[in-house]
Amino acid sequence: MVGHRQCIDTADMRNRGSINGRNIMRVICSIILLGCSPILLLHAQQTDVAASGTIRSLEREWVDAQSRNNNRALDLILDNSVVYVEYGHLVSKADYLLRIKHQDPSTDEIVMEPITVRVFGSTAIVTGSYRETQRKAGTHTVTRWRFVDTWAYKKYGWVLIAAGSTPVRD
Amino acid sequence: MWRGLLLTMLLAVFASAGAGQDSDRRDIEGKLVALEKAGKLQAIQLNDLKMLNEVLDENFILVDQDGSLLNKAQILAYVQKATSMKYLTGEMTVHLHASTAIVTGEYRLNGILAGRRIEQRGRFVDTWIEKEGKWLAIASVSIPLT
Repeated sequence: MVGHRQCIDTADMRNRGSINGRNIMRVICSIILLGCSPILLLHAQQTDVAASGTIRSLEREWVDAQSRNNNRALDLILDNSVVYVEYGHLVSKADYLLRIKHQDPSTDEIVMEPITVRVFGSTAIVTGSYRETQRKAGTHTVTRWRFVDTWAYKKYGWVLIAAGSTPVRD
Repeated sequence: MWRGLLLTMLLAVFASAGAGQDSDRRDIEGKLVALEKAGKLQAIQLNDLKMLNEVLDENFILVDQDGSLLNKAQILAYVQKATSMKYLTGEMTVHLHASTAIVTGEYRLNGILAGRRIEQRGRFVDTWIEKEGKWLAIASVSIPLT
């Protein structure tokens, strides 16, 4: 960004300068651009790494908040217009929070498996899988799910804007 | 009187700005629905790999109805192998978040893939981003309807 700005400024000056001045400005501009490119690239990579770390933490917080019926934390994690598909049904944030509020945490256990985070600027895609154990009337069922979560960077940080899981058929 | 006139003018400016934003939003929503239709309907039914290649980002990933994870190359190969596929979508909903959009809807897919009959009914959740003025799909999940 700095390099680009400098280059524009240099170009403006160039029109008023002599031939020698023009060449000098061109060299300066090239040096600035060449010098800044790796820095900008490194900065972008570092930003992506930081975003990826934040999103991984948020994914863990989400599972933790759900297992503890922590609706306050869930309210901050989920965007108000989140598109959430749960057990094949499209549910609103309010419906999801209501279900969690009344859910007995001992009946539902989620164990996360490794996840992958891909950052596209202010959007991030998380893919991964988890095992869900549901206990009901003395029996338990284990389902393995694969999911895609979409996060967006908004005013106050990263929020979940979409999530959908599908059962893995082994 | 001047104050009243100024207030009216300000309100008119804000109203037109709001109307402009609504119109932009509707344009983008319409564009995304069209891309969904062109990208999926056209690509799957007509084996139009060129179209599919254009709307899917290089890092696109799909979680299919059976829980399998596919990348762009695998999807293109999948579509290439398919014969007499029919893909129908119901009404779609678009949620815009600046340069990111979530499109969701129900779909029906049937046809033959590598000699095997396929029949699916489900819900899709697609994520699109705007990259250099072009909307590209970066992720999709297909979920069976229960």
